[in-house]
Amino acid sequence: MSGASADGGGGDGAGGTPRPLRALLVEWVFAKQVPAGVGFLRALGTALFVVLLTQAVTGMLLALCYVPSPDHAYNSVRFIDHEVKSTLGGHEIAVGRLVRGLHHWGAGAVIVLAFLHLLRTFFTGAYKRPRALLWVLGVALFGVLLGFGFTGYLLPWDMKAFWATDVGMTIVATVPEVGPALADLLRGGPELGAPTLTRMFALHVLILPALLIPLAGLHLLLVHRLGITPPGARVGAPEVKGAPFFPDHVVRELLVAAAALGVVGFLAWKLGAPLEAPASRELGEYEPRPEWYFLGLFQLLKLEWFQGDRVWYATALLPGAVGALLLLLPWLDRGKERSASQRPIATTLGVLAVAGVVGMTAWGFWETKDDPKRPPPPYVPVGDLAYVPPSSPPFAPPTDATAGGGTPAVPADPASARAEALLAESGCVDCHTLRGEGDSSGAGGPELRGLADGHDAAWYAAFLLNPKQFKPDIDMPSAADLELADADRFAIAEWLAANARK
Amino acid sequence: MATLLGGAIAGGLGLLGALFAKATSRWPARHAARFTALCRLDALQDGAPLETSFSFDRVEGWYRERVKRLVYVMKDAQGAPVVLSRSCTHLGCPVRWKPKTTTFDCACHGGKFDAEGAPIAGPPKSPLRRLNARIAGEMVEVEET
Repeated sequence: MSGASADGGGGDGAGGTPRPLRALLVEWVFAKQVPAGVGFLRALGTALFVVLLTQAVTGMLLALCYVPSPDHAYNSVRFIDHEVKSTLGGHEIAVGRLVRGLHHWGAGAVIVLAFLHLLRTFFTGAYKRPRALLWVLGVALFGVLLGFGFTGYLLPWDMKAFWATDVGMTIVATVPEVGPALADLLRGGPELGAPTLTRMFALHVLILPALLIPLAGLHLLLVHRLGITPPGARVGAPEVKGAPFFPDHVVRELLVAAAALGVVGFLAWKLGAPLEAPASRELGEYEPRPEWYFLGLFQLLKLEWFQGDRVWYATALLPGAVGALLLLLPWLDRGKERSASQRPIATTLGVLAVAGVVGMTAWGFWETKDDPKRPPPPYVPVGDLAYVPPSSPPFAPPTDATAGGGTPAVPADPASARAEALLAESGCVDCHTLRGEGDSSGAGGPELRGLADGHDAAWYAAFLLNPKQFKPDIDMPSAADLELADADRFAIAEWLAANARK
Repeated sequence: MATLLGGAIAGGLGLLGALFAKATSRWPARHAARFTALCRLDALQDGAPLETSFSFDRVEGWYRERVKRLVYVMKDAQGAPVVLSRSCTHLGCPVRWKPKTTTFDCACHGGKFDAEGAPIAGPPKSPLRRLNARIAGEMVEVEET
């Protein structure tokens, strides 16, 4: 700050007392200079920063409603999509759907902008002395951003989330020596489940931000201290500044940021964020696919040469080598030239690498574009009492009712025996079946063991009292119609809950 | 121009946050009054409030909660059912009917209410809350609230 005061930047107030905030603004914005000839390509970093800030805001809003637990995650996401609505100027706005859409498409924009920012820095030779550390921080930040993408992907807990993460964890496990242990650490066990969801959530909202903020802060501080690389200047040549940062370059930066946010906002408004059926281990026809920015790597694994014992070449060796090359780039390329046309080897290698990444990703898109999706079930408003609470977690073993056969004819414990006697006496089995027998009326009521909606006893007790209140179209007598005493109703409810599919 | 662009982005994010906060601050879900059976009408005796409770499902956003309410039920002079919340209007401890003094006493801070639920001693300044109740056939029904 003393620097700003020394060069007369207005760091002193009228009474001679220092005004540190004003000095900071003058130093960082108003008195700042950039090299002449700096254009829109030098604005990608700021656009990335603004989109990341937007991700932080939308992420905080989503966290107000999201529950990182398999029994509520999917429903809390659907709640955000369908029920978080607000009115503005007489129009109803699905603000939850919009915010989730912004976060989803914003995540894609972050990867695209980070990739373009990295390419710009590479092809303009801006990673060279004295900006080696700035480059290394940038490469590390790119890794953190990919981490955000991978960890955020599981959170909606739909089919795509579950299986993309499952495949991702399997890829982690193929890394020699440390892979299996690392995969177990990330998953919180040998299989993807509830602990994986809390881990990915903690990484996404606490641990990765704790890495991102200091790394990005240092990156920005160094950008400010070292300034923008003058276009085409050789390493060691004096770096001349001659153009104002404010407002000229700030406008360029904000225009690129606004354009990126405009595209993200349009996609969010039009498409929202995708959501498939709730996560389930029953794969069926479903094809697990990663998010698009991992499609290139995914496609690599389809090549026969990378299969069997050589799988880790693609999962560990190649990504590791690319990461190491990028980190060490300022020391591997010590040439004085910055201009791409004066660096034929680096430029050629760079173009080949970009073509490889883009080509593999495009190929992956092409091969997966017609894959079957599993659409979500019809939405029932939560405010409606017909609402069926969260789908069961995908890893419960099937109950004996769903597995079929081999079940004991009479339950061993007295409470169950009493409840089953009540089902017969009260007339339940005139319309329902119990172990496949009953329904003499032919009403077709569901089998009472293993009811698919999986509620707790309190819910069933309330339901039996007046079924029409919960399901308006149901043709089922109330507890009063059946002359069912409260104690008997509770006994049946306990039994239904204990035998429902979890 | 720079201020305009920066202001537009910051303003947009602020508006988004305000709309989201507004949209997520109206739970539990509001709906038309729903009544649930509380007790039989002939269970109410003169001069002796019936201690009971009722439960109902309440939806809060993505979560359905079974809410339980502790109440006293009695008849007023016209024979209409009166349902008083047991929640003391001081700090919410449950009050208990004392037949000897014919008062509702709160054990936490010594609050006392008369048989109508009006405060007569101790810290509470407002009467016990009355829940909407009605007669449906032989039953007393109370509003789920």
